[in-house]
Amino acid sequence: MDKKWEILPGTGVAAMVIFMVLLCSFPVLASDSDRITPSLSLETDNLFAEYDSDLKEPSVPDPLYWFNYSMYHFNDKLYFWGLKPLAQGYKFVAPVELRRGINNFFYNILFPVRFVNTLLQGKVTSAGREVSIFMINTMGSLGFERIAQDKHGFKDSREDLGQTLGSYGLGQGFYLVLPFLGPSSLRDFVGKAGDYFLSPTGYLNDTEVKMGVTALGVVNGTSLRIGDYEAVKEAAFEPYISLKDAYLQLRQNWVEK
Amino acid sequence: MKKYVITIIILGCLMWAFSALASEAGPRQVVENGVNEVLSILNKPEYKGELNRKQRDELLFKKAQELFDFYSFSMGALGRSWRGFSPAQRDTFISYFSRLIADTYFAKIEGEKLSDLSVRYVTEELLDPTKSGRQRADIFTEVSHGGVVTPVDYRMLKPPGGMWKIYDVKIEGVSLLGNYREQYRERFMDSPDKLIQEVREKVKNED
Repeated sequence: MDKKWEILPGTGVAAMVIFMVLLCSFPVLASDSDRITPSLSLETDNLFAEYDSDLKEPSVPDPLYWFNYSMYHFNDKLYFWGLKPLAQGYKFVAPVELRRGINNFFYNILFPVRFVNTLLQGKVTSAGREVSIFMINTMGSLGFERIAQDKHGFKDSREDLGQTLGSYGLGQGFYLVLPFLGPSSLRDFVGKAGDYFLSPTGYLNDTEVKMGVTALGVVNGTSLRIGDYEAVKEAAFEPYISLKDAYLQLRQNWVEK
Repeated sequence: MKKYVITIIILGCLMWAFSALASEAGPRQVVENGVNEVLSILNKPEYKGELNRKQRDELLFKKAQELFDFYSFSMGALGRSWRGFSPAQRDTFISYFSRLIADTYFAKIEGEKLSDLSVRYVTEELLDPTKSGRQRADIFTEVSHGGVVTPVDYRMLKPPGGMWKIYDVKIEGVSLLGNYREQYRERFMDSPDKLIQEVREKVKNED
């Protein structure tokens, strides 16, 4: 009997202490709740469901992995040993305004690709806008400046045949890494071949001139993007996978637009 | 007289309600304030050039920790591997992984090249909350720099009673979280310690 009385007040005190601790810790929890505390509900949350490729767009297979991987390796070495030093030297000589101008020029002459593909996708307004952009920029600056976009707020549509085929419901087929050209897919490779017939540089008669112009376009474009590839590669654990996923995500996003 | 008292009381209530609303920053405000604060750090004259680079990067890292939900970011990036990590391993991984992200995406920015940078807020979209009751929102922006316009989308998360934080960034539609998730899918067989070691070495190499 005595023992029972001894235990009960003891438990009462213990309960009080636990209660007080709980009471005190609650405001702490509430004010600190932006620091997410791991709990079972977070583990089974559906936050990342849309990121899993078996649930998002049908994932793109890579049956030519060994070919692709060696091409990735080839392009990587080509960039670091050839293209990058070349672009750095060129960057040193040519002022940035000129390089941007040349970049705009190459973009401008590819107008037929964008125009035809906006039409093929039934985007009549975008096609009309492409005509306006081309006219304004060509007459105002021979295409060296982006007057229509910068001064008049025109939004350009970067359409190409690969995207057109995608908009018709054609999937990527499989992943493909092309020598010199980099990440692609069966669909986008076919698209690129088709677009070639719409690009003015393809119609240059002299092979040497054609190669020179193409080289200028590539080196000039690269000189404006030195560091981008390096950053992607440095941040990646699996650079091949990182580039592949980035390419496929990018193209998917462009097709949807 | 009575009327005046009532109006004053109503006005008072309204003002209180407004101030309460203002303190609850929405997802767009969080992004906007965050971007402005980061830009103001980058534009400080003393942080331009190489001189105070370490100090600047430290400041940027602190800001990133405020803005980003690195816990959710790491969890999403690791995908299936996350379950194999103990709480202590998770903390270690997050500390190195957040460093890596900050180092690669903030530390590379050169203050001198920011003169023509501008950010436009296109639109925002509130999404359905997650199963565990966290609110979600996507903020769509466009960053113009050197005549190039790049779409940058921020995916945001708000736990009940918490604040809005960024858990993923999409640049040109490419999700950073998704990109790491694909890479870690390949590493499913690797032990947590091996994965931690790998991130740690990468962070070391950056310095």
